[in-house]
Parts: sequence; structure tokens; C-alpha cells
Amino acid sequence: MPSIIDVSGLTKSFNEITAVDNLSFTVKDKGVYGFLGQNGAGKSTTIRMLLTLIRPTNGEIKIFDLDISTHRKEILQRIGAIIEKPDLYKYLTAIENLNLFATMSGLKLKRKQLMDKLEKVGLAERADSKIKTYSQGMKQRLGIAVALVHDPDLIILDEPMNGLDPQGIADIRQLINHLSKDQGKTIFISSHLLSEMEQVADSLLIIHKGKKIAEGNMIELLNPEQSGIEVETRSAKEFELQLKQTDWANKIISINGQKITMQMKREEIPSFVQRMAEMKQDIFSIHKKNSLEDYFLSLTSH
Amino acid sequence: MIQLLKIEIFKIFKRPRTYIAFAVIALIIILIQIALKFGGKEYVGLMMSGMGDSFEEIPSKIILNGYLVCFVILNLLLIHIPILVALVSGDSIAGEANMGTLRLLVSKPVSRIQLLIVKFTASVFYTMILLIWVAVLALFLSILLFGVNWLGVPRELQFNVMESDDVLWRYALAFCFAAIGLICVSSLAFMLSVFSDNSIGPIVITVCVIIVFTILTQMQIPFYDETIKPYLFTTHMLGWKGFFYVKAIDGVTEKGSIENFPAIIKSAAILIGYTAAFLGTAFWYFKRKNILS
Repeated sequence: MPSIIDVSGLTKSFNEITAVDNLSFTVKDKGVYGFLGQNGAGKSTTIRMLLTLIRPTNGEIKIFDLDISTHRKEILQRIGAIIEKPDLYKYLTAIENLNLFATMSGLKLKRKQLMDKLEKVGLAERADSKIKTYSQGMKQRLGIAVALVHDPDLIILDEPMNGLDPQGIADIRQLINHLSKDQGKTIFISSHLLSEMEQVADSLLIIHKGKKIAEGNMIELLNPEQSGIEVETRSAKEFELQLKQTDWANKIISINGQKITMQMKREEIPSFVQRMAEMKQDIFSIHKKNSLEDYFLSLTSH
Repeated sequence: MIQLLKIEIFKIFKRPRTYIAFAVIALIIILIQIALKFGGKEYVGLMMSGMGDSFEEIPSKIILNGYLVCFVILNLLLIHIPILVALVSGDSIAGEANMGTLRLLVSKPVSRIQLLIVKFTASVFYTMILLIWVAVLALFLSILLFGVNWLGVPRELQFNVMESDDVLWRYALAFCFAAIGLICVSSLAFMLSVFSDNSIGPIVITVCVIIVFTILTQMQIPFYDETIKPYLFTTHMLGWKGFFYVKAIDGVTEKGSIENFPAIIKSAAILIGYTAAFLGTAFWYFKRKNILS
């Protein structure tokens, strides 16, 4: 599969602070590529370098097999982006904003074509309203219409779900799935909403303090074959003593108050539950712990 | 490029704040015209005092005509219009950064240099429209209200007189010169705008620079006359007046003459030099600027 983004040795320093440190990654054609990291990890700086808003201190960025430093215009013609909040011209209407950015992308669209694009994000009825009258969700949808107005091959979304209500988040998720699965677009998306990323991303890149700490296919990274489980009991210490007399003792990872965390194969879980019942333990809850959030925290919490 | 320029001009004239400058200019000019219409005789009396007996017999309604009213307005206004120009030019890049739209613009397939050229050209276009507005109100409305006659321009210890058919071309050139001065101010505000992420800063700094430089320009202190004044762009912005200073032989004005044309050209060249320096700095910096807003 050809690569769409190829980054190698990317570094950005602001005076003494290194925001992105020797970062290398590859984004393959098609699919949703999730870009994770804590606040200040360097996600936005990386995205801004991909979009030529920030000049790298070091390293190389190739998009569509072209070097961004020498083929900026050709590359940006094929990219649609939302960078943090979709700030648009508040004193202009939605259709004026869309027309303005279409023109900047080299397009000359008629009102009918612009209305069709607004229709796709559910804003056709408010096409002639000024943006200052829009809700945050409507602005986000218009931002997406602006990003997609020139039918880009690569869509870069930096925190697209920020400030949205649950319905707005669901709409964006649906749109991302539609763009990826139905239209075959490549989407590079950063977000701190891990549960949402888990639902939309096919591959992941996780950075911490400017450095890459994990990269790969979501399924492979989360490894469903090897489940972590968290058991809440009356006394984790007492439970641990009982477990130590069994074969399950080597599955214990940590103990915290009333909670005990263990690692085992997925098919072992039913027999473990049965064994606990035989031990007459008071079990309040069993929680599967190999979510993206758990994986992310295990990588970044130390 | 033309499409991008149309967009920028569209954006400027869609903002209500753009029209503040037009309203302020109209208000000031009309107030001056009303004042001169009803109290013009006293004003002319003051202006002519000390000019000698030969002028005292001329009826004030001859001296106070549309051409003189326009000269009075320009004399008062051309120092202050730059402040209004700064409102738009200072907002040009910094305003986009403040709104968060700069990152969208720069991530579009348009080069940064192209973006700056379009932005500055749009600011210049606005400045020219503003100047035309001044010309329409100050010159043509004054001609309509006060009629035309010969123009008398008071100077230190002398009074330059131009016949009525020797005036309009001088105004045309004076407005062209004023355009060069205003573009210079526009480029200063534009340069400061590139350095900032908030439009208040560039606008306030430009206004402060104009006020301080104008005060220094108008100070009658010999020490400053040679050390500072020749280098201030505000000094050279007054060069438009040179078109109304005429040669006189034995007290008789030479029709179609300009007393010191090379000085006007020199002032224009200095203003163009300042503009080039301001724009050069703006382009150099913006090409390297990290867009963090």
C-alpha cells in the first residue's frame, strides 16, 4: 500500500524547548490514522508542520511522495484540514465563507455547487446566516465543509470533536467513517477523546513529550487476545492471599485498595470468574482493561 | 491573484468597522464646511492679518472659495487620515491571526508572499478609496458650496496667489502625493501587523508613531530641524503643500510654476524608500514566521 505521509527525523525546537523530537512515521493510503498524545505532547506542532504553518528545525516531510519544502502548493491542493477550532469569518455568511476558501483552493463554484456542499453537512438552510449566529457544532460542520470543499485526498483533522455535544461528536464520527469507508479518503486525526478514537481509527501513532512511543494497527496494539481485567472486591489483599494459593497468582499485575488488576488470555476469563465464585469472594465488579484509554495511560502515565 | 484580491477587498468592505473611517471623514469635512460657510469672514480676516494693505480691500467671499476651503481641509486632515488608514492595514494580518483564520489561509495552496501581496494591495485599495472620498468631499463638495476663484495660500511672511485655472492640476498632483504618503503609513501598519497576533497592537503603535513624529515635525526647534526632521516620514508627508508654493518674479506669480519641484520629488522618493523598507521587513519576517495562532 503506498504511503501518503512519510515523516522522518522531524524535530521542532522553540528556543530551549523541543516540542517535537526526532519523530518518524508513515501514514498509508486510505483509512483513519489516529494521532494521540497528552496536551503539550507535540501533536498540534506536528500537524502545523505538515501544513507548512511551522518550519521544522530538522527532518523531512513527504506527502504524496513529494517533499513539502519544494512542492508545497501541489501538496496543499490535495489536503483539507481543520486545525483546532474551525475559526471562520464571523461577519460573513456560511456560503460566503465557503466560497472564499474554495477560491483560495483555486476553485470557482456556483451558488448551486456551494449549496450542495453545505447540504452535505446539514447547513443549507442556514447558508445565508452570518457565522456569528452559529452554534459551536454548526461552526464545526462548516469547518468540515470548508476542509472538504476542494475534494482533498488527505484530510487532516486536529481535535475535530472539541467543544461538541454528544450529537455533534456522533455526527463527526459518522462523517469520518463515511469519508474513509465510502469515499476512500485518508484521514489523519488527532484527538484527546480516546473512546472516540477507538471507534474511528484503524491505525495509531502515540507521542509523548515530542517522541513517538507507539505506532501500528489499532487491533495489534490493543491485543484483544491478551486481556487486562480489573476486579473490585471487598478486600484486594485478602483476595490476593487466596489467589496466591492457586495457578492464578502469576496473573496479578497490581493491587490498589479494593481493586486488583490481572492479565490473562480472553478464553481464561470465564474459568477465572468460576474460580472466584468457588472461593466465595464478594465481587462488586469486573472491568475489562484493554481499552485504548488503558493502553494510552499505561504508556504515558510514567 | 485577481480572484484572491477580490476576496480580500470583499472581506474589507464587508466589515462594518471599515465604514467608520468614511463616516468620520465625512463628519469632519462637513463640520469644517459649515463653520466656514457661516464664519468664513472672520476666518479670512485672521488669515489675511499681517499680509499687508493690498489684501485688505479684497472681499472675503472672493478669497473664501471652494479651492481655499479644500486647502484648509487638507491642511487639517492629511495628518489625521493616516490614523484611519492604520485601522485597516494594522488589522490586515494580525486581525486574521486574532480571529484564527490565518492558519487556514496559510494552509491553502497560496504562497505566503502571494498572500502578503494580495493583503497589502487590498489595504492600498482601501486607502485609495478613502482618499477619493476625501477628494470628493473636500474638493468637489467645497466647489459646489463655495464656488471657485483664485486660490490664495498663506505662508510665512508671504501669500501665494494662483489663478482659478491654475489650481485643479495642483490638487490632482497633491492628491497623488498624499496617496504616496498614505501608502507609506499603510505599509508601516502592515509591517507591524505581520509581527503581531492581535490587531490592537499594530494599530496603536502606528497611531503613536504618527503622533510622536508629527509633533517632532511641527516643533520649531532648530536643533531638530537638521538632526531628526529630515529623516521622519511625517516631515515628507507634508510635501503635498509644495504644489501650492509658486514662483514669483517682482511680486507677480508665475502661472503654472512650482517653487521647489525637486524637493517634492525628494520627499516622494523618501516616502517610497520607507514603504519599500517596511514592506521588505514584512515579507522577510512573514516568510519565516511560525503560525502559532
